[in-house]
Amino acid sequence: MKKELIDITPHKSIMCKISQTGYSIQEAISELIDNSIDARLENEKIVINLEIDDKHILISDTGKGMNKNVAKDSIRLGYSSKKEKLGEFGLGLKTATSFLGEEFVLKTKQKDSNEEYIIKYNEEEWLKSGDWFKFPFMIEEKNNDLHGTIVEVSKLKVDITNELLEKIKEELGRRFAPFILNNEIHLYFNGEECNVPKPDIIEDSKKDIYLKIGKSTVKGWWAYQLAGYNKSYYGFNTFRRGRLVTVFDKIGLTNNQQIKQIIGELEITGVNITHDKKGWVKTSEEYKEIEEKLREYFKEYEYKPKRLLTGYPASKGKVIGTIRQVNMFHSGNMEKEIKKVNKGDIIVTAMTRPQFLIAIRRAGGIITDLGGTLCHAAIVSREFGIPAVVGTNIATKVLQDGQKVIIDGGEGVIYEY
Amino acid sequence: MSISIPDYLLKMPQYLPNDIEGMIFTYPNKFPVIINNYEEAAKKYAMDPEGFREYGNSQKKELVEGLNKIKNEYEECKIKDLKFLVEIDQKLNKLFCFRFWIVNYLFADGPIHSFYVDNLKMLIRKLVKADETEKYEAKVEETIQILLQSDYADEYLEQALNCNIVLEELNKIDEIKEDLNKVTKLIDKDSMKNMDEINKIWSDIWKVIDNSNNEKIYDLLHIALVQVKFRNSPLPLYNTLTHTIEFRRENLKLKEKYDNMNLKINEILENAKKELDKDEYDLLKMSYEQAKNFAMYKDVMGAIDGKLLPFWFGIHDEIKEILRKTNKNMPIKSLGQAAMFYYLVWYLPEDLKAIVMTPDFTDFSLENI
Repeated sequence: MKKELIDITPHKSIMCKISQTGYSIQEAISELIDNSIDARLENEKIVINLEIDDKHILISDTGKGMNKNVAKDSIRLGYSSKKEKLGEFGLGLKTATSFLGEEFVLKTKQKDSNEEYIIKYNEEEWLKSGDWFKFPFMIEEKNNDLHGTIVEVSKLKVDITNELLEKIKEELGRRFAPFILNNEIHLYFNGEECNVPKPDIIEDSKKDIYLKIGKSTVKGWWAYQLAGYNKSYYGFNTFRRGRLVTVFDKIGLTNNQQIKQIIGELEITGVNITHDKKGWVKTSEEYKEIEEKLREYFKEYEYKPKRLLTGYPASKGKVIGTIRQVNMFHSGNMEKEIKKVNKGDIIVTAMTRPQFLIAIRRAGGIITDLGGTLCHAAIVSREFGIPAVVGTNIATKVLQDGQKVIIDGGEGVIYEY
Repeated sequence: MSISIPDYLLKMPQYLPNDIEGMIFTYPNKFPVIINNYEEAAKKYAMDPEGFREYGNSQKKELVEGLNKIKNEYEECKIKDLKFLVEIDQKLNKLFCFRFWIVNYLFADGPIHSFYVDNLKMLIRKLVKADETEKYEAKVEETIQILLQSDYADEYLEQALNCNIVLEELNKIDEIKEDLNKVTKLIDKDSMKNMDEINKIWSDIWKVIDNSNNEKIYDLLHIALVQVKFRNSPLPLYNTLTHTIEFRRENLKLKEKYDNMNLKINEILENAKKELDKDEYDLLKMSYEQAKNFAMYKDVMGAIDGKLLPFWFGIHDEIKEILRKTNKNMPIKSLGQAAMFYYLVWYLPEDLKAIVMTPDFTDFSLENI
């Protein structure tokens, strides 16, 4: 047998190809924020600023910054000195920036250092004349106490729309909720602080959960959600080391969730995640054990409740809520009636009227005595995506103010809660 | 086209799903001619969308003219005794029955409508294709929603979509910028708990708008402003303004959804043309058009509510007040248009009871009302 030693230096295009992992823009940005979070100083709250316009994406932080060696290694593919941290795979900076744009600049400085380290990457230049062994690394003298890292991505490959900006802001608050709630980070997006969105849940159904299975743990909370439209929008946001891994994860839940919609947040330890950080390694023994334990735990909360009423299924969706009897007749006191309806309540009325729009929009569901496909309640509930059952004949007589029920607008059934 | 509606569906219905005041029991007994009028209209317009729209418009025109005539009669009368008030109510009932009820209830909620909705649903199930049951059901549901919703914005949707423009207009007014920021923060924090404070700021903001006589904003908020007059309170307006801020993100999404409605509907109908037999396609198209027409004319006719109902309910209040003087035990009930038949009549003197409960065999005419 003859043995030859061959050159397996990666092809230069790998720097561009690594970004093709099916990222969403939010996920790519989160990779960069992960790095900032990893760089936070002990006992000091880090400020992370994210600025996005149609030309640039800029992330700056007040973290500890990188020393010379770490800064040099940051551009190396797959290199990471971090263990048990968010950026443990050493790919995030390269994949995320390459996904977002053709060009990026990284500037980093530590507090006690007089040097700022700069890395500039341009996809076109790299493919034309880049050299794995001679990548430019710049050092600039800086005599100040400032510290932290800035990553600026330009020549964007992604379209930035207003709708996307709204989505990013909302999602960042949810993704980094544990860090924000723990007071570990201040996260700003285009000048506004990102807040953690309040989950729409039935407060008194909220329960803490802690399970220890071998070396793994599951800690968090769950509750029945107050309002839900699409049948797949339930389950858990799962976190690993405070960073969101999956949303609406159905781990441990069965199909009976069609009736009761459980949502919650679970911090899971002791289970590996996939290298793109978008999921758990489901084939691992640890994952399977956790799934089984959770299934056992949730079994008792998944009973099928008793039917109270049926009617015409006017607008699909299932929701649990508190009954509010609302008199929408012209002769009623409109203001008093509107005041009764809190967000997520289920309006029970003989029929709806347009002037009650604000109450209708706040409602989690609508049940009427009268009506068919074209009644106002049916039309309005379809327009605004509110589950509704109409034409029950007796809802206003049978359902009590303050009573909690489950409404299934797809089947036209109201269940006991 | 070989669409046919079974004859029995063109007869006067025995039941209507939205008929809270039981008009289906009262009107054919009180005004027997309505049966023939409706059945004639049903034969003529059940399969004629264009004709139905013309019919709807002519009904609306006479409804408005008739209301003005009755209102004038009421205003000109110097002695408004119980007999006069009962007669005015009966005239309003006749007008309502012949020029409102047919389009707004008998067509829109009756058997012809059910026929079209059932066929629409059935044909959509035939049209939609998907590999998995769940995907198929979801697609069926979505297609039904799109076609039943149509590209027509009813009063609810119109208000929500107008809110986008209202907000743009409010943002243009420099004098209210600070207040607008303040009220936005309060609404975002908790619109229910902060309601008193929110309404106070709206009152200040509205003064500025009122002083500048902003016709565009008046027009966009016309549904709320009618309620302000009707209820003699600014709160319906403040609620609408709060809604504008509270649901601003959702309203933008709604706009996007309904901007694309025409395209989606055309796509579905184009696909149906290819996938269904000609007769089936014709029936689907007719079902879509008539379901849309019926929904639309419910709104077109309903636009008179702001004018008709305060007047009519005012008459009922006057009657109630007179009757209460002699009937202290008279229970308090919610009043609707047909209150005379299900409530007030029981407390009228014999001669007026006879007027109310005697059938009127004459047809409706504007001249004789």
